[in-house]
Amino acid sequence: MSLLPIVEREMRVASRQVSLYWSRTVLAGLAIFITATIVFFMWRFPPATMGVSVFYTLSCIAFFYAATAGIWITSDCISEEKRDGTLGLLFLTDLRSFDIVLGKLAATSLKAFAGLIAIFPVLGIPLLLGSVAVEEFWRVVLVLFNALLLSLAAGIFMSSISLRAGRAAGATLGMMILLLGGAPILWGLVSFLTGHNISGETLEMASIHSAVMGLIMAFEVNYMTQSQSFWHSLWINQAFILLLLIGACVRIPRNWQGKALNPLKAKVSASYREKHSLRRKELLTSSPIAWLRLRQKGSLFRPWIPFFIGSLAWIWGSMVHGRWFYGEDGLWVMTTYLSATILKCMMGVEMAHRICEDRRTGALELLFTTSISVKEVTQGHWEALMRQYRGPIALVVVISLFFGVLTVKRENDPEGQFWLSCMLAGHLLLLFLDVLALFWFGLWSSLKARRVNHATRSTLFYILALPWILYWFLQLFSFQMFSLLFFGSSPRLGIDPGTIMLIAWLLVHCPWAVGLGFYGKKQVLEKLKHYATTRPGDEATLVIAPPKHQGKSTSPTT
Amino acid sequence: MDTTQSAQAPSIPAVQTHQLTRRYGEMVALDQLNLTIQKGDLFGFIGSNGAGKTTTLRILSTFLAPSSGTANVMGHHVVQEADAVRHLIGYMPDFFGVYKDMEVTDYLDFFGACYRIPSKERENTVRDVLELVGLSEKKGSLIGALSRGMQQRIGLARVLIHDPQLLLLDEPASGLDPRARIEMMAILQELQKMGKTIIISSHILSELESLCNQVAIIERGQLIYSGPVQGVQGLEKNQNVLWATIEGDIEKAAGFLKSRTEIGEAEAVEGKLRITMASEKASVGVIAQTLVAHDIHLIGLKNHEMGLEDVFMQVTRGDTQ
Repeated sequence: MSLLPIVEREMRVASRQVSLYWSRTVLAGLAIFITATIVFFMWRFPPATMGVSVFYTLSCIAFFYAATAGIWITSDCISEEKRDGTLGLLFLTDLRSFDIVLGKLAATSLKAFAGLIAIFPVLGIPLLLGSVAVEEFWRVVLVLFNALLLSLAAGIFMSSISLRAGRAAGATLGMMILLLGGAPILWGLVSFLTGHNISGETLEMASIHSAVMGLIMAFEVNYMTQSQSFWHSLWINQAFILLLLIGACVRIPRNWQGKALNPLKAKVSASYREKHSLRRKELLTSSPIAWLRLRQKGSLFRPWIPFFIGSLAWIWGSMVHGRWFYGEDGLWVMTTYLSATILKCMMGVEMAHRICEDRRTGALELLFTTSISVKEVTQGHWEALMRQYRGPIALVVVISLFFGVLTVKRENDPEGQFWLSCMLAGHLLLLFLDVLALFWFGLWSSLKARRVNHATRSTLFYILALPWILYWFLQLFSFQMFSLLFFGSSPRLGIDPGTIMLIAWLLVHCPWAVGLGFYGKKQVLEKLKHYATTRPGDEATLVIAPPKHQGKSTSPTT
Repeated sequence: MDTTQSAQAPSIPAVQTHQLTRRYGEMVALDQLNLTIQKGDLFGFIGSNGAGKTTTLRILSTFLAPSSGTANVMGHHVVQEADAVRHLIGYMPDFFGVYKDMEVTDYLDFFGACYRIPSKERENTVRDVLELVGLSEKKGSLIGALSRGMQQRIGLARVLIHDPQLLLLDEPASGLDPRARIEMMAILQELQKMGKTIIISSHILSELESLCNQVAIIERGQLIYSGPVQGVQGLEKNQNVLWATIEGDIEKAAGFLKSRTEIGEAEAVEGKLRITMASEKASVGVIAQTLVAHDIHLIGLKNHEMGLEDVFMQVTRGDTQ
C-alpha cells in the first residue's frame, strides 16, 4: 500500500467513520423495505413475476443512487481543500496529483461502495425465486459499479476545476445528465423544436454512451438480442471514467495556487460595485444580513436564468407548433409543474448555502459579537431570499394561473372543471407552503450541516422528494388495502379516483410542508446562536449544564 | 473615537467576576474565578492551553453562559443584560472569521451596520479605525488577498468599529511576525491611552510583561495570581539565585564554587556565573571569599530578577483539563 500512501491513509480514516456503518444499514434496510412492499402489493402474482418486479425496481433505485452519488460525495472533496488552502500543502510533499485524486476517490467512495454492496444481497433474492439468471444479476451489478464510478469520477473532475461547493455540485449534476442522457435529450429537443420525428434506431445508436442504456441492455430480455450494445456501453463508460480521472489529475496541479485577478474581471466588478453602491448602502443600513447575502455579483439575476432558457424554448416551440401549443394540455401541465419544481429546487439550493460555510469559518459567530439578534438574522435572510426570488415566484404563479385557466376552459365537464380548479388552487397553496418550508428547513439544514452539499441534499430530499415517496406509497398501500378488503372488486365509494388522488396529494404534501417549516423555524430560532458559536462537529460541547441564574436570561447559550 | 470614557465613575470596575464557574459535562473549565479589572487597565491573561482563558473571554463576551457564579462588565450582568454588554465590548476571537470575498471597507461597513451605526457616521468611523490600525491604504483590497497580519489588524478594526469601552482580545498576536507584533502592541498601547480597558490573552509573555500593567495567571481553571506585573515576581522566592561577573576562567571558577557546601549549584551561562545558594540562609559572602582565595577577580554580583516567563514556568505545570 506504500505505492499510494494517501489512498491507504484516507481509507483507514473512512473505515473508522460511524456514518459508513449507518449508510450501509440504512441502504440495506431501504432495499428490504422496498422488496417487502413489492411482495405485499403482488402477493397474488406468481413468485417468478414478483421476483422480476423486485429485481427491476431495486436495480433502477440502486442505479439512481449510484448515478447521483458523485454530486453529494465527491463534488466538493477537492474544492473544499482548495478553499481551506490545504491542497497546496499536499503538493509541497512528494505526492503527485494521481496520489491525491485516487486518495480522494478511495476515501469518499468507500461509503458509496459499501452502501451499494449492502443492497446486493437483497437484489439477489429474485435469484432464489428463479426469476433472474445469475448472469443477468452480475451484469446489473457490473452496470451499477460502473455508474457509481462514473458519477464519482465526474464529481472529482468537477471538484478539481471548481472552487465553490454549489457550483461543483451543480456542474456534476449537469455532467451526469449529459453523460447519462445527453444524446436522447439533444435528439428529443431537436425533435421538439423542429417538429421532426427521430427513428428509434438513431436514438438507440446515439444513446450507446449512456450508462442508462447499459442498464437497459443488462436485462435478459434485451441482452439476448443486443448483447453487443451492453458491452459497448460498458466500455465507453469505462473510457469516460478514465478520461475524467486523468482530467482531474491534469487540472489539480494547475489550479491549486491562487491566481492573480483578471484585470478585465476586476474592472467589471469595480464598475458593478460603483453602479450599485448607493442602492446597496441603503440595503446595508436597513438590513445588513440581506446585504451580506446579496453581496455577490449576479445574485439577483441568477434565479431568472432557467426561466429565460425555458421561455426561449417555448417561444421557439410556439413558432414551430402553433400559438401556445394550443391543445397540448399535457405540455401546459408539465410546464406549470416543472417551472414550480425548478423554482423550489433553486430556492432549496440557495437556502442550503446560506450559513453553512460562514459557520465553518467562524464568520457566523462574529455576527453575534454585535448587537444583532436571531430575529434580525432570520428576517435578513428572508428579505434576501424574497429580493432574489419574488420575481420568479410571481412568474411561476402567473404561468400556473395562465395554463391552469387555459386547461380549465378546455374541459367541457363542469365536475372536471371544478376538480381542475381545485388542483390549481392546491398547486398554488403548495407553492406558498413549500417556499416557507424551504426557507426555514433549508436554513436549519444549512446551520447544522458539516458541508454545503449535505445541507442541499437534506433540504431537497425532505421537502421535495420525500412527500412524493410518501404519497405514492400511501396510494399503493390504500389501493392494495381496498383490493384485500373487497376481494379484488372495485369499491364503490361514489368518488372519482382522480379526486381521491388529489385529496391524498394535498393531504400528504401540505401537512408535510407545514410540519417541516414549523420544525425548521423552531430549531433555527432556538439553536442559531448555539450552533453559531461552535464549529461543525463540535456540537457535543453544546450539551452543557444550564446556568443557575435568577431572572430572565438573554444569553445565547441559555 | 471617544476619549472621555475613562471619566466614568471609578467605583465600577470594568470586569468583575465572582465564583465564576463553567463546566462542560464533568469537566470544569473554569473553577470559581474571582477577578476584578479596573477601567483603563491593559490586562494580560496568562495560562497554558486549556487553562480556561478563552472560556473566560467567551463568558465575558456573552457567548457562553456560566454554569454558576456571576460576571459583570461595566456593571452589567453578562447573562441578564447581554445586549447591553455587547454594546460595551469588542471581542476578537482567536480565529479570523472574515468574508474573504469582501473588500476591507465593505467588511467594516457591514459590522458597523450590525451595530446600527447610522450610514453617514459609518463612513467616518471606518476611515478612522482603518487609520488607527494602519490599513488606510488597503481599504479597497479584498480581505482574502491580505496577509495574516493584515487580516489580524482588520479583526482589530472590526472590534473598534462601535467604539467599545472594553476590548477582549484572544491571542491577537498569534502567528504575526515580529514587526507586526510590535505594531500590534503599539496600537494596543495607543488604545489604552484613549481610555479603553483591554484584556489580552497571549502566550508571548515577554511582550505582555512590558505591555500590561496588570496580569492574571490561570491554571486548570483556577486563578493563581491577579495584580500588577511587578507583583508576579513575589510569587516565587528567588533570593537564592545570583549572577556573578568575573574576570578569569569561568569554568574553573564554577568548579571552585561548587566545592563549597553553602553553594548548591554554579554554572557558566552566557559568559556569567549563575550561582544557586544551597539555602536561603546561606551568606553570599562565601562567593567573594572563594573567588578571591583562588585569585579570581569578582567584578559584579547581583540577585536574579525573575521575569514573567520564569514565574509562569514555575507556578504552572502546564496541566490542561
